[in-house]
Amino acid sequence: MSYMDPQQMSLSDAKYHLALAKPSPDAELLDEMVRRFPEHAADLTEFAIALALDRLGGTEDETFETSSTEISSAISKAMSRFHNRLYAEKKAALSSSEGSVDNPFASMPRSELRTFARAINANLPFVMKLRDRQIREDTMSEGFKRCVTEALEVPHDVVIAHFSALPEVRVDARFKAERKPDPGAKQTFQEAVRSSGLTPEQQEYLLKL
Amino acid sequence: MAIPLNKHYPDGRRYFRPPTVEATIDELLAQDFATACRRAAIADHGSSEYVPSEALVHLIRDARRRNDEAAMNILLPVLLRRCESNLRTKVSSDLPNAEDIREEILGQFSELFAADGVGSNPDQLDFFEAHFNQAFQGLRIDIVRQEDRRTLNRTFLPLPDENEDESNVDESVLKYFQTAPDQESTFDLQRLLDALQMLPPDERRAVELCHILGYDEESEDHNKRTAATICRVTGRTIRNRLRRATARLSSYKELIQ
Repeated sequence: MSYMDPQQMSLSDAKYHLALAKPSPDAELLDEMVRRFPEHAADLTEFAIALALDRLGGTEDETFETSSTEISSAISKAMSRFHNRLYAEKKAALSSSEGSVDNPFASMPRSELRTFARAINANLPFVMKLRDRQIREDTMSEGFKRCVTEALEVPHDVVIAHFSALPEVRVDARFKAERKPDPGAKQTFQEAVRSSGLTPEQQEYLLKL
Repeated sequence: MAIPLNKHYPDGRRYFRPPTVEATIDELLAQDFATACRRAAIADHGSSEYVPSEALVHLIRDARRRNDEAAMNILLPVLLRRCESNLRTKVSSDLPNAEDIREEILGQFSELFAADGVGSNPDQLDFFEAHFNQAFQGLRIDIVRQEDRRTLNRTFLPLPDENEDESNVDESVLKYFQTAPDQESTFDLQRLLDALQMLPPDERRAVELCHILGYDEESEDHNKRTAATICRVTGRTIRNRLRRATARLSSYKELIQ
């Protein structure tokens, strides 16, 4: 598993790069994308050619605002697709939160947790709090959650569901009392950052994400 | 300040919003929702209150994160109207099912918002916050070219008689594709682009690879991708195809002038 790989991308990302990275795609940029997705070389090449021809023949690909406020049939249909998809996504999120929530840190040994900590510019105690869901999800910045998602290389909703779930005490954790301790209330993100032995620079970095 | 974008350029740099977009987002987030809606509806690009499409995408994504369906229902149609206006000019009505294609593009685009922040590619809309027009162009082209594939041209430009005087062949005709057109040559370029579609597929591909994307015809470096390696033919075959394409386009150009 690699962490914080900025080069990680999907095929659709590769197409957007071809559209955005240069005024017009060229052999160099296309080769870069083909190296990443050799199995889609033909598709990417056709796409790059179509894009280059479109840019060559067209003027600025400007969008225009119309003064009309009417909702056309095409927009109604698009909104309908939006709502259907939104419903499906919400339903999927709900069923995943009703069932047992996957802990994306669960299978990570201590060495891997340390690597992860370095990737997000934190330390092991802070990552343990993330693993054990001891930090309130609603107090984390969106930037921090995205950073964790990228570093873990799991879907963003899995990370959100994990942080939103009840805190957990690891079954393999050692404790002196006869009973498993109550996991207790969650900390806010800021409290967790301040109380995990992070350096001032690390604290500042994490709080600014 | 709006949260940074998560997508990265191939060289590792993060995508970022243009400063004017960042400034507009800051303004909008500090204003009440009614003001944001009023501003979003402003059509005049020159107005100081005009909301660029990149900022509009940000507002809709922000509403999605907050699960504010009412805000999405107001703002998304505003953005879709802009896109629909663009598609009316960019998706040629000559295509047999142009309306269906426009609907498909709008539908796929609107679904990106519903799936924003979830799934295996939660940040795809970052591209639209960085450069809306280019990103939307990419989406449009990806959908339209699938349609193009189904309606391939079967009528090709004629190949001039080989015995014809070779001085009639304008060797520079392919250079039109490589130079930025001035006002005078734009007309010729557009006609040549139309004519390009009327070349046999293997000749057209050779022109596209060598003169549109800038690939070498062939190379001594066996690891280098060239027109020859992409088409899996020899460099000589590529040159032959280019020569035939030049002859066809050159006689066509002569015909239209």
